[in-house]
Amino acid sequence: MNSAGRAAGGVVGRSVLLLNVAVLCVLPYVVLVWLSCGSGWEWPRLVPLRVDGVAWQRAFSGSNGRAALQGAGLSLAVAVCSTVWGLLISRCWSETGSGRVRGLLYLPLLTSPAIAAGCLFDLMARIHVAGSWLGVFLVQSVYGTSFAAVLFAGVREPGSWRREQLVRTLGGGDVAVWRHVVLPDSRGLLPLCLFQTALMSWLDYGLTTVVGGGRVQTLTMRLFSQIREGGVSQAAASSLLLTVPALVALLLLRWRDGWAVMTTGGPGLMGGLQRGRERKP
Amino acid sequence: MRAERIVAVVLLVLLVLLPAVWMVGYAGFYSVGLLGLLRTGLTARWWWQACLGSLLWPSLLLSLTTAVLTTVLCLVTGMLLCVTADHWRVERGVGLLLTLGAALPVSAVAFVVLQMCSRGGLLARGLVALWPGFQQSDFPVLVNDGWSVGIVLAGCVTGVPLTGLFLLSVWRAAGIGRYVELAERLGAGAWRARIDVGVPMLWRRARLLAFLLFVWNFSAWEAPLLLGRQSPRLMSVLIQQSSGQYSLQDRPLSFVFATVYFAVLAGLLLWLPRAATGATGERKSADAGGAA
Repeated sequence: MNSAGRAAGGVVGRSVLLLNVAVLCVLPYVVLVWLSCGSGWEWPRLVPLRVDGVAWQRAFSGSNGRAALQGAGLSLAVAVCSTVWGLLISRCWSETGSGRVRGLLYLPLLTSPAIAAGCLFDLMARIHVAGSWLGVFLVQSVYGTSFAAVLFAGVREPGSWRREQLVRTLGGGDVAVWRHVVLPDSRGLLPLCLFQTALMSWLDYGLTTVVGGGRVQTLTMRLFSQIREGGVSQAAASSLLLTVPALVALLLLRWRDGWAVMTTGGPGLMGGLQRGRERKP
Repeated sequence: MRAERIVAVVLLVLLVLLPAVWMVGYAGFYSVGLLGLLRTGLTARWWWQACLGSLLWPSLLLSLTTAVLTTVLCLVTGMLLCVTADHWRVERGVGLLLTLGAALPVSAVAFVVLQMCSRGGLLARGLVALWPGFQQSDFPVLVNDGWSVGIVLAGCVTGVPLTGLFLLSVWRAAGIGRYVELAERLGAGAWRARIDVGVPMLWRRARLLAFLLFVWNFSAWEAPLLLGRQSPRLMSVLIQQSSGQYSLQDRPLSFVFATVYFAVLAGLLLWLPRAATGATGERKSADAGGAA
């Protein structure tokens, strides 16, 4: 491209900007690794009193390891169920849905999890699942399913409907429709949806802390406990442990699709939605 | 087909519509005394108390200003990256950096900001090591401060990678570089071509993202919980902490705050289709331009 030779900003400006972005993106990892590799951080020490791997040993054992495993299981369940349920809802909604339903689908996505959990806690208590894994799974699925429904509804096009009619005309049933139309149409978005909903559950704190009532321990819950207790090294190790699945998922998606826009947390869901829109022909 | 539709409708009602309606309805009814253990029958008492009290308006104002500031900073940084970096090997360099940043969870970022920017944090320790005579109290208050510097910083660390990745992707997908190049060939300077041609095209497509970023920052919880002040608190923290964490008597008040929060959210949602239409309309016109 010719503009390569006449780029805006000058070499110094571009270098400063790139450096800032590099610091913004890489420095948190450096700080977390530095804080996690030692203990004894009395003021004003920049270097820990003891450089040991105690925080890392504890990160994988005892309640921390158990919380990580349980959190991973929960996020896997939420991801699979939300994706399947969202796919089903998106088919129903794109045929009959109106703008108001779309607004309601967006509402859980845009609401702060802590506020949503505060309002939903009573509902969970009435059906006797507050303070349990099932309750946390259900409220996380509300977010996951809404996300998946909006994401998949964005890729539904008139051609899909015609292909579905063709399969039915040729004698195919529901299974054939799913095999030849639904899954091929949404194949590109399935990994994105699975990863994104799994990450949403893996990193959730608001829903788990309110609906789980302290009885459901995930790694994010442990991280906040460690921060409150002042366990700097332990919290840094937990933060890194929390980040690794997200980093692997994002790098995998980026490797698969160079333009994938995905991130952790709230705006990540939005990035995924935007990606769905961009894919729409 | 029929069975599939029934299952889908049941799922839609149970997992999406019921929780959405319940959230808004429960907060609304609780706030006027029609629900909950403290129900007194229809009353506006809690609303008066909230509206005349010193908690709601400062929190709402703080949440809005923090969200606007963070969103603007993220968008400006993302656009600067686009206009200066369109010739870089963005896929391998900037893109990879931004992907690293995008993987950081909010809670981890908030923890890092706390450890870096607090008065006992790494930055203050570094200054003590470099500058003899530097005291802990000489370090500016950047965390749990009145200006929400820590919250904005954490919002930027999580928001800039997403904005950067998204805008770079839009820049490439829409071929905005070609339009900029054309403007340059017609005699515009490098900056002028980017600011007058590239940025408006980018903005039209990024309006939806800006809206969603704003809503997300407005609803932020983990970072304000660690990095915010006790008063005023951001809306999410205020609502969660007043819903019975300290006193059960505050619970109806928390649902008044939640109803106000939902009202603001609903107002923003009414604006969402316009933002989405703007993005789609621009895409169509850009595609038509490309085809021409």
